[in-house]
Amino acid sequence: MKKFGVAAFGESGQYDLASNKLGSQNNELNEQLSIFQVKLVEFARQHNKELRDVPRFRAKFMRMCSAIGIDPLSIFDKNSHLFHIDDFYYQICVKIIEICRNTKDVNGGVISLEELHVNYFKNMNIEMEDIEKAIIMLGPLDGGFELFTIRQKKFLRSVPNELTDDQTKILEICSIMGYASITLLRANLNWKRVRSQSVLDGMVASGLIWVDSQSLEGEVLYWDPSWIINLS
Amino acid sequence: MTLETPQIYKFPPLYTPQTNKLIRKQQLQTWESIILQTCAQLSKWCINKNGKIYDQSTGELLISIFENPEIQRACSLEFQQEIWAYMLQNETALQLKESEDSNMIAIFWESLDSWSSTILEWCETSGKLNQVITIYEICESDENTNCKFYGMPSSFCLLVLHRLVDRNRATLLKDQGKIVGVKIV
Repeated sequence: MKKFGVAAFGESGQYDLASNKLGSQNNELNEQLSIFQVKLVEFARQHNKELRDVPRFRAKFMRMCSAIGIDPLSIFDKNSHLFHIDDFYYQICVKIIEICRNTKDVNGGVISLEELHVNYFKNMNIEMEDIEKAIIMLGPLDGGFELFTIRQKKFLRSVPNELTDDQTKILEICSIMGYASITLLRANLNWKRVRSQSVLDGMVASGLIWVDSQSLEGEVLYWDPSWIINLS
Repeated sequence: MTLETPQIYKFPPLYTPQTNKLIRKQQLQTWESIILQTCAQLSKWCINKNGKIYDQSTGELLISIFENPEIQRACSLEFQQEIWAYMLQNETALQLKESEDSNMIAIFWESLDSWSSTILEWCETSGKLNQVITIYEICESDENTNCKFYGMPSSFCLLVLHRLVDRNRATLLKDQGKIVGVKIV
């Protein structure tokens, strides 16, 4: 049978050649890209001062980095003061806002710093203190970001409605076993059923806690999503 | 092989449908990704609606997705149906009509388009273009044990081949109303 078009060029031999070539080109490009990335970081180290002093240069440089797939955070080195030290924290701020927005539907806008650190920042060599500092820098933006502490554990609230005392107390109970229930609240805080129920319902409605109706005791348990990080 | 499940799989309220609308949506999304991940890990293309997955050769129960005995929680039947409805709507799952067992659902941890490209590529590299091949040859031939689609059930494979027919790259050959082979061009 006579073949037409590309098929006329015969059987798979040529295709193999082509795909090999494509593969090696691909490898080569990847290699070049990674070399380029290394060079770029090196360049940033050398011209740190200019980068720091000229905002326009800095902005362009950052744009280039993100275009070729370098997370700006990874080229910062807070010890050798690459760029201005503040920029490092600004980048963390951006990341934090991003994470809070993405996880808002799961945790109702309350996230533990531990979760932030372990899940998102640890592999970038960013310490807990850096995160805290960045959050403080978010303050002037008035975006409703606020740190609060429950039993020595720090949490970040990223939604503007402030937690009431009752809600905070419930989160406190949750931080021990992961959940709270009407019985637990009565035993620990001496709350009446009505009070517990209404606060818990309110927290469910705003997405701060999750309902679990399958406990062995038959009572509804209310779980804090920040507990997920403790499960293994 | 130990099955990897995300941390949230051990979170008890995941098994109770959440009353908060936003969270419920997030919860369905989580279930979707758990199902996709599990099927991808076990290379299962079609699973029973009840979420139980068995080892093909030994018949041993590998996982019952909707139950977690470790924390003694399970999804109710209604909630399971809601999860499937969500996935059907997202087109990450498809109810198999022609199969004898109507409880089987095809799971797309990779899209049909991607599977059809994979098979097309395989045909091109192994010189199977322009000749009639059987579905058995594609999914179960010993030559293909290294292929990603090795072990794919024929019902799933047909879905993929239909996709190729739509792209004008394949013709299905029927014998007495049953599809017996395919010619990919």
